[in-house]
Amino acid sequence: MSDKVISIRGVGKRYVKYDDVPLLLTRALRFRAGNRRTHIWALRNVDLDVAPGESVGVIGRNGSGKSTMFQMLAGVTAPTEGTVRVQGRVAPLISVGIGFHPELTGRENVYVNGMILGLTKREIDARFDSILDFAGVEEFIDTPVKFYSSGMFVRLGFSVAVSVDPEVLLVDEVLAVGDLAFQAKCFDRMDEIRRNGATILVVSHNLNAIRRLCSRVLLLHDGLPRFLGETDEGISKYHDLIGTPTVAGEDTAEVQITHFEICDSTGKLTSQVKAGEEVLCRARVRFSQATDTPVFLLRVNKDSGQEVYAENTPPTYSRRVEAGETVALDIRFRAALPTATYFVQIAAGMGAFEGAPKAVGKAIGFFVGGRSWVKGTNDLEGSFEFGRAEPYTDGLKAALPSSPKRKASVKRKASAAARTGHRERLIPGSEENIPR
Amino acid sequence: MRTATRSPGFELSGEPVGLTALLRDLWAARRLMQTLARKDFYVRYRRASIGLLWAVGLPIIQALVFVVIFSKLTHFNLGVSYPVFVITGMISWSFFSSAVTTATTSIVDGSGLASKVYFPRASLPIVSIWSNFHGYIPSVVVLLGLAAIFKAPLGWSLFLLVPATILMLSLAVAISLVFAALHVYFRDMKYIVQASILPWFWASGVVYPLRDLGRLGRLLKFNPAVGVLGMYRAAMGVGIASWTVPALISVAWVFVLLCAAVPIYRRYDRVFVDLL
Repeated sequence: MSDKVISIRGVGKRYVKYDDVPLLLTRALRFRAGNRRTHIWALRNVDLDVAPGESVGVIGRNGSGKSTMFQMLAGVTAPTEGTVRVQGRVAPLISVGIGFHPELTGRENVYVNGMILGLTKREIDARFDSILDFAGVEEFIDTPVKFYSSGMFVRLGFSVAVSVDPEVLLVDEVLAVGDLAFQAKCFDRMDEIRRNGATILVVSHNLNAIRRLCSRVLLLHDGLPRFLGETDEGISKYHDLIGTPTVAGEDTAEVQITHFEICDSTGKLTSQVKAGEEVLCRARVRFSQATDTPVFLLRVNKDSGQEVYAENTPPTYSRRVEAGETVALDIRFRAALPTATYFVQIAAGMGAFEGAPKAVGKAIGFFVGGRSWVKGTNDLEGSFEFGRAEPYTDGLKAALPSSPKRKASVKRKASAAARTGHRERLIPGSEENIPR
Repeated sequence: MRTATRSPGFELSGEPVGLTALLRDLWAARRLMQTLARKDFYVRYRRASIGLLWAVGLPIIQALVFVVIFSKLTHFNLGVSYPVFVITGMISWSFFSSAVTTATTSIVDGSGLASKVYFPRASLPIVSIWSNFHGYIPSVVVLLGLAAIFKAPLGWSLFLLVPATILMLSLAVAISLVFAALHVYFRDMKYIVQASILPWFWASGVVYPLRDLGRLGRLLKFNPAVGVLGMYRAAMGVGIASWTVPALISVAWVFVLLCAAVPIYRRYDRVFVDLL
């Protein structure tokens, strides 16, 4: 017996894809012509070992095989080749409220759902109060769940699922449930489950959540494993993958974007940027026609498509470009952004007028993250200090300068390498410490 | 999940599941099956104002229609009470037919559950039949009451109800296991079963004696439902023919169907979900 909770060896899963609805009659008629079905490998050559208490993230684009892998880990489907071995009780948080029936009351559904998740009746009895407490639906527990709000429904389902005390918790994107307060509770509960020695596997497009929960990631791409290792490196590799044209650019006869890349402030190619740092976009744009008013545009979108920032150069600011000239374009911007995946895109045109010829570059993905230990969407770079409490005289301000020597400044130092452009923290009350 | 507290963990590969593992998982899932069956039964009648009465009332109403019409149309030379003969047949048949019909689609209908958590897929048809069985028990009580009213000669033979019920349940489970698995691959099964129910009803002699059909009637002894109905009638004191041979034929059917079901579930238990 190995000490691994999860052991995946050379696993592949093949699905049959029908080109049309397989009507028995048409299939029989077409029997000799051969079946119009093809095989698709949703997942192949995956190896993964997970030790107890470890949390591993699985990332990749839609259709990269993440859900297929989770279905196998949940025991729902068997691999076509290779073996999947799981030791211990698995709680699949793949969707919440499995088997909930709208006509049954919350209480009845808790029992049905709990038994589906592998609890015995006695175990559910023992957990019932804490389930109720976590979900916060005490008043409605004897009401049929069809009268529940969607939030209540999901909270109750999640509460049962996390009460299972699993050895393995599979989390698939369900954290996008409930309001913010409930999400925070879910995160805390998952931390607690992990501290109790459970293994957690997370599939999410929310890389912030992955970074917070997982020490390792498995990157899947088109069903094949591309990377297995340290989280930040995996996230970076993932962005290298999505940086390859997802949104194809459009060139015109007059303007072509021949080259586009994003670098950090030192000019090194990158796909991961620390929050607040400078990003350099470098491009080559070729103009086939001469123009007096070349215009350039930079746009940053969130991965959800929401526009975060867009700015273009005013035509008046331009200089003449000759026909056949290739210009080098450097655009710098500060990634003062919450932790997330972003896409950056440039466009170049001849004049700002509608209908003027312009080229739109492909979108490159990159990840903005705060310091790795910081939770939440934004790294606000808080500084902490403490000292002996002095009696207030004329308010706090008056008290501070009288005892500057006793202050101890506590801060978690970011590693110098990770934080280029390191700034000193301000310590209130000691003016001389302020840099600049 | 399935084996939960007892034997946590599992190993999956492309190979068929072992028979012992399959049976062990099924055994481990027995409480889950009971819970799901009760929920299913409860939900079915919850919105109806007279609830459970429908489960009992429907076959009785159908039986009474046959009793009234057939008594006017013809006279079967049964030598036993015709109303008890029909009601006995009707209550068993209506359980059997509705159980098989709902169980046939049970794996497909259960995809919401089956694609999220693992439990042996064979439990879905069993749950469906067990859920129907909850309504059958009160029906049998009503049957006994009606038999007393119609002065059927009840006696020690009533103990035959137990093996008759076990045989009927086994037959329903065996047929449903095969049909439900086929239904995953050929969604026509649902309609094939629906279309077969009526011919099967007339081929089972539910409301008339099969012997009146002559040679065809003797051939219909190979119908697995005939043995079950024969045992029930013998139990209620309205038996008109020997039930032993047809019952043995039914047992043989159960055996054959289970033998067919085992390799199907060993091979496809963990793969059904891919087609749901």
